[in-house]
Amino acid sequence: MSERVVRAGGVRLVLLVLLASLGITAAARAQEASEPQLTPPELEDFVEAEVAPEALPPPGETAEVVLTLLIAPDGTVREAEVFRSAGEPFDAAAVAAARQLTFRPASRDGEAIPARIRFRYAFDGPEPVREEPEAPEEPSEEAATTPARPGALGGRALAPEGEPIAGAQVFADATDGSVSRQGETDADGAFTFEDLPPGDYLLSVVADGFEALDATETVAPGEALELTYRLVAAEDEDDDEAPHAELGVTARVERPRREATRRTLQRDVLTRIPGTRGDALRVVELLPGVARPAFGTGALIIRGAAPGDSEVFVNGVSVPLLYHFGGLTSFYNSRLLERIDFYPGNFSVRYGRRIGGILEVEPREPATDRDFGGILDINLLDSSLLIETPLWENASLALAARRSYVDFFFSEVVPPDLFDVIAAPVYYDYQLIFNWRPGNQDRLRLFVYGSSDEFRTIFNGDEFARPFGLELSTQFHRAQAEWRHVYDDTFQQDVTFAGGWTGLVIQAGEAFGFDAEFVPLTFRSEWKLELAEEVQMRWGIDWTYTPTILSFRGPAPTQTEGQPAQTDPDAPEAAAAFDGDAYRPGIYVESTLTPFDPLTVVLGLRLDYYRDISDWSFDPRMTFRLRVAPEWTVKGGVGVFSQPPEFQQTAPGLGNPDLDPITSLHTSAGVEWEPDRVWQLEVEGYYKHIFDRVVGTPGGLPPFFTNEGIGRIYGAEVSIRANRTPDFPIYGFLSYTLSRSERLDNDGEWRLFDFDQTHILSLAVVWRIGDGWEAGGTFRLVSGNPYTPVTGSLYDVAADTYRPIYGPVNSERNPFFHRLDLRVEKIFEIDTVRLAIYLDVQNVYNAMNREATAYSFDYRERADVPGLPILPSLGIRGEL
Amino acid sequence: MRRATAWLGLAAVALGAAGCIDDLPSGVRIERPRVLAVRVRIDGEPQRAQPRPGETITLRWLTAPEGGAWTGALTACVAAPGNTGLPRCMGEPFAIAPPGPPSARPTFTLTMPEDAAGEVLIGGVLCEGGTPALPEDGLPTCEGESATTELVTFDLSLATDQPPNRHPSWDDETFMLDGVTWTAPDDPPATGCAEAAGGAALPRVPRRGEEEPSAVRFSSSPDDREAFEELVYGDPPSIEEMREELLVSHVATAGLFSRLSTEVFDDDAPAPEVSWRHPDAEDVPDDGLTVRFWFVVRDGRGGMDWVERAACVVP
Repeated sequence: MSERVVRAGGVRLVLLVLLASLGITAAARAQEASEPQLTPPELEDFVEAEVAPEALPPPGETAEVVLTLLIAPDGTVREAEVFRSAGEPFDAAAVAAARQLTFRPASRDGEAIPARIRFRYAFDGPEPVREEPEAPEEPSEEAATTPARPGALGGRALAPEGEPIAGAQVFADATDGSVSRQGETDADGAFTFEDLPPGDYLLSVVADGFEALDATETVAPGEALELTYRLVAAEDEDDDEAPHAELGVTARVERPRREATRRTLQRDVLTRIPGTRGDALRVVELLPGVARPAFGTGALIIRGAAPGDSEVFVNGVSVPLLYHFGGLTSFYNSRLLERIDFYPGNFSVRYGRRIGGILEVEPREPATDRDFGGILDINLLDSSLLIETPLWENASLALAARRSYVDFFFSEVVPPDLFDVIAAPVYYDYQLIFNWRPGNQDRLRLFVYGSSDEFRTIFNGDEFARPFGLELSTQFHRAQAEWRHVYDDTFQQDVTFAGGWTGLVIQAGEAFGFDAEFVPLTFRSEWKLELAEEVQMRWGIDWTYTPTILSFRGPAPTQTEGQPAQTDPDAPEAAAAFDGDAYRPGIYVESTLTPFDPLTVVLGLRLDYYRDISDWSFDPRMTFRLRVAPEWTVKGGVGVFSQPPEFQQTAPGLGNPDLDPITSLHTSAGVEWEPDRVWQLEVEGYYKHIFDRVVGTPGGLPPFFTNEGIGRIYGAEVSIRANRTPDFPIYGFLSYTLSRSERLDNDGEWRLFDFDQTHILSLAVVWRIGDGWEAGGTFRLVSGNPYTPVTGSLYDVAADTYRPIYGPVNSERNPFFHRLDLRVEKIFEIDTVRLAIYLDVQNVYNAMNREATAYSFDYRERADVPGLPILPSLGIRGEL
Repeated sequence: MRRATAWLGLAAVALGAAGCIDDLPSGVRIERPRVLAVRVRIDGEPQRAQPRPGETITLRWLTAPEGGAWTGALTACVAAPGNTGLPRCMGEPFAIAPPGPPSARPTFTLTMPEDAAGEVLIGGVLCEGGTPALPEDGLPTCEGESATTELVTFDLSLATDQPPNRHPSWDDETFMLDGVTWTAPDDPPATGCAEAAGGAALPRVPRRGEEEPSAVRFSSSPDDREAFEELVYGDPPSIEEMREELLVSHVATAGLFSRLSTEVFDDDAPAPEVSWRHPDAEDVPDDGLTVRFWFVVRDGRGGMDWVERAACVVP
C-alpha cells in the first residue's frame, strides 16, 4: 500500500494505490493450507497522464479520475477501467497513461500474483492569477473574528470480529485535492488526523488480509470526527457485496439492500456444503422457507407455494427446470456461478408472472487474468469439464459441459425380464459464456446453455400384453445476449434478448401422451436512473412470446394438487392438438426512496398482459428497510403478485381458456441482526393469501378448471449464519421454518397443501481443518408431507380394478424426515494444478424415510416406499 | 412444464417402489374370498349386455374360491356425470336389491326405470360369511366376525339407438394346458387329487420349477370384439369409431401367472397364451394339490363372461 504525490508542471498527480483484495482463487487456495503472507503491489515506473493545456480545469479546480487497475504477475497493467469519471479528455488520458505503468507485483508468500487496485490521477488547473486588490476591503466583522478553525478526523479500524487492526494504512485526501495525509493505526487500531481544514475527505483504510475501505467523511470546523470502521476480510464472500472483478482479484462495492428479504449465496460457500455433491444450487433446499421436495422430484417449494408458482431465472430469463433427473444435480455448473439470489417473497416488480418465490442464478464472468484455466470433476454419477480463457483485450470465454453415466450400467442392474431399457436415465448440460467489455461504458455477454434429461424404457410386452412404454424427456436450449451500457454515473441500461427451444415428452403407454415444443423468446430492457441521492428509479420491459406446438392424449385433465389420483377408468379420454402461442408483455417501474438515512422504501408497479387468456394483471408492491441501530434492521413488505394459469389449464380442449390470473397478497415483516461480519441473525414472519386459485371442476367435467380456489400460507423463519472468514475455521448456517400452508377448493373446507411442512430444520457446518483438509456435515429434520389416507377400496367390476376410497384430503402425515450428510475434501497444490479429492455421503446412517406408500392390488395391505438410501459420491476435481 | 420434473421424480419413486410392491399380495392368486366378475342377464337375450329402460335384469356374480357363502345388498341409481372421484348417484336409488340366501354365485334382480337413460350405477356390498348392512350414512358393511367385505360398483350403460353391446363369450373357445385340451372341471376333490387326475377336465401336472412354467393357451374369436363409438374430449369434442379390446383376467388358487391379465387387441395374433408358474414344492402334498383357475373376459363396456378350469399338481 502506498500513496504518492507527484507534481509535474501544471498537473498534480496523486497516486493512490489501494489494494482491494487478493483474488478469489489465489486467496482461496492459499487459505486451504495456511494463512498466506500477502504483499500489495508497489508502483515502480510512473507515467504522466497528459491533456492539452487548454483542456485543463479552470484555475483553482481539479479533475480527478479514479481507475481500477488489474496488475498482472509480471507487474504490467492488464486492465484499466474508470471507476470514478471526471469526463473527457481526463478519463482517456488517465487510462492511456495507466496502461503504461509498471509495478512491483503483489505477492503471496513471495510468489507474484495478480491484484486489482484503485489508482487516481488528479488534473489541477493552472494556479489562479492573483491580482492586487485595487482597494483592500475592510474585512467583515465575522471574517475578522471567526477564522475557519481546523477540525480533526480519527477513529479505529476493526476486524469483522471486532479485533483492532494494527498497522493499517490510513489515507485522508481532501476531495478538492488540497490536502493529503497518510497515517497508520496503532495497536488499538486507532488513527488520528489533526488540524484538517474543514471539508470533505476521501478516507481510505488498507490492511493486509482485508478489503480496502473507502469512505467520504466531512470535517466540520473545530470538530473532531470519531469513526469506527469494520473491515471486510479479503476472503469473505459476504452476501451483500457484489464482487467487482474477474477471477483472481476482487474489489467490492457495497450494494445496498433494496428488497425486504433477499438471501444471497456465494459460490465459494455453496460448493462446500455437504450432501449437495458440490452442487451450489442444491443448497437452496436448505434455506429457510424452502420445503423439502419428495425424493426425486426436485421441486422448488418456497414458503408453501406450489412448485409451479416459483420461477428459476438465469439473469432474468426463466428456465423450465432446476434439477436433473432424480433431483441430485442442478442444470448449471456451479463453477460458472457467481452467486444465487433467492427471494422467498415480496420480490421486486422486476419479476412477474409468479406468486411464489424467485431464484436468480447469476453466472460469473470468465477469467481474464490468465491464459487458460480449466476444471475437471469426475465422480460416480457424472463428470464435468470447464475451460476458460481470455480471447482478446477485455474479452473472455468459458465453456462447461457435464454428462451423467448412469445409463452405462443401468441396463445391467434392472431385471431384464421386467423391462427393456431403450434409453436409461441420462442427463447432460452445457454452458458457454462469452464476455466482452468493448469500452468503459459497455459490456456484452452471450450465454448459450442447455440441459437434457431423458429416460425411456419399455416394460416387456408381447402380442397379448401391450408393451408399456415409459418415456420422460425434458430438454431446453437457450441463447441469451446481454448488453449493458452505462451512460454516466446515474444512468444505466441493460438489454437482454433470449431465445431457445424447450421440448417436453411424457408418455405412459397408450394411456397418456404429452408432447410439447416451446420456442420461448424473451426480451428485457431495464433502465436505472439516479434522480438524486435519495431517489433511484428503475423501469423496464419484460416481454415473452412463446410459440407452442402441443399434442395430448390421456385422461381428461384435472387438478393434481390436493386430489389423489381418482380418474374414473370409464371416463372419456381427452385429445388435443394445439399450435399457437403465449404472448405475455409486461412493464414495470420501481423507485427506491431514502427519505432519511436509515430508511429505504421501494415502491413498485407492474402491469402484465396474458394474451392466452385475454386478461391483465396489475401488481403494486412495497418494501422497506429501516436500520434502527447499527446492528439492527427492521424490514417488511406488502404487495400483489399475479401469475397466469398453467398452460394445460387454459389450452383449448384441455382446459378453460376463460380462466383469470391467479393473485396472491404477500405480507412480511422481520428483523436482522448483524453484530459483526461473521454472524447474522434473521427472523421473519409472513402471511400470504391466494385468490382465484385454479382448481378442478367437481367431477372433473368440462370446462375442467375454474378459479374457485383460495389459499393461505403463514409462518416464521429464523436463520443464523456464520460467514466464511479467514480467522474462524468454521462456517455454516442454521435455519428453522415454522409454517402452515392451506388450500380451499371450490366450496369445501380448508385442507393442508400437498407439501405443507410444519417444521423445517437445517443445519450445515463446514470445518476448515487446515493443511488442505475440509470436512462438514448437513443435518435436516423436516415434517413429513401430508397425504390422503386410503380407508378402503371399491371393486370396479367392469374394469376389474380396485379403486381406493380416500379419507379427508391430506389429513395424515408421513413421519419426520431426517438425514445426515457428510463431506470430506482434501486439496493438493501441485505447481499450477490444484487437485481435490472429495467424498460426499448422503444419508450417512441410511435413514429409511417414507416418501410414499405402495398398496396391494386391493388396497388392503400397504408398504412404505423409502427415499434415498445411503449414497456415497467419491470424486476428484482438478483445477488448472 | 415444470410438471415434467415431477414426473421424473415419480418415475424414480416408482422404480424405487418396485421392490416394495414385490412384497405385497398379487392379484393373480386367490388368497382370500374375492369377487371376480358379474354378468348381466336379460331375459330372452342372454348375450345382450345393455338393458333397455323398463327391462328386468339378473346380475350373477362370480366369486372365488369355490364353495363360498356369499350374500349381499345392492342399490341402483342413475349415475351422476363425472370423470373423477368415486361413482355417485344422481338422486335417490330407484331400486334396492335386498340380501338373498347365501350362495357361491349370488344373484340379484333389478328393473330399469322406464325413463332411465345413460348410465346406471349399481353398487353395494357382497359378504362372504356375514350379513350385509346398508346404513343411511356411510359405506355398506358386512356384519360378522369372520366376514369378508367386498364393496362393489358396476357402471351399466343402458342401450341406446345404437346396436347394444353384447357379452363376449367363451362358449366357442378352447383352452389348452401345456398343449393338451383343457375342459371345465367336474367337481374335482379339494385334496388328494392325484388319483382322480389325468383327463381333460383335471389334467395331471407334475410340478416343475420356476424356469419351466406351464403354458395356458386359449382361443379368441374376432367376433367378440365389437365396434362402437366413443366420446373424446378435445377442441371440439369428437366421436371416435372404436373397436373393443378384450381383457382376460386369470387367477388361480396356487402358483402364479406371468402377468396380471391378457389383452386381445390384434385379430392376426396367434392364440393368446400366458405362462403359469407352479406352486412351491412345499405347497404340493404327495397326493396332489388341486388348483382351480378362473378366466374372465371383459370387453371394457360391461360385457363379461368367464370359465373355470382345474388341474392337479403332483410332486
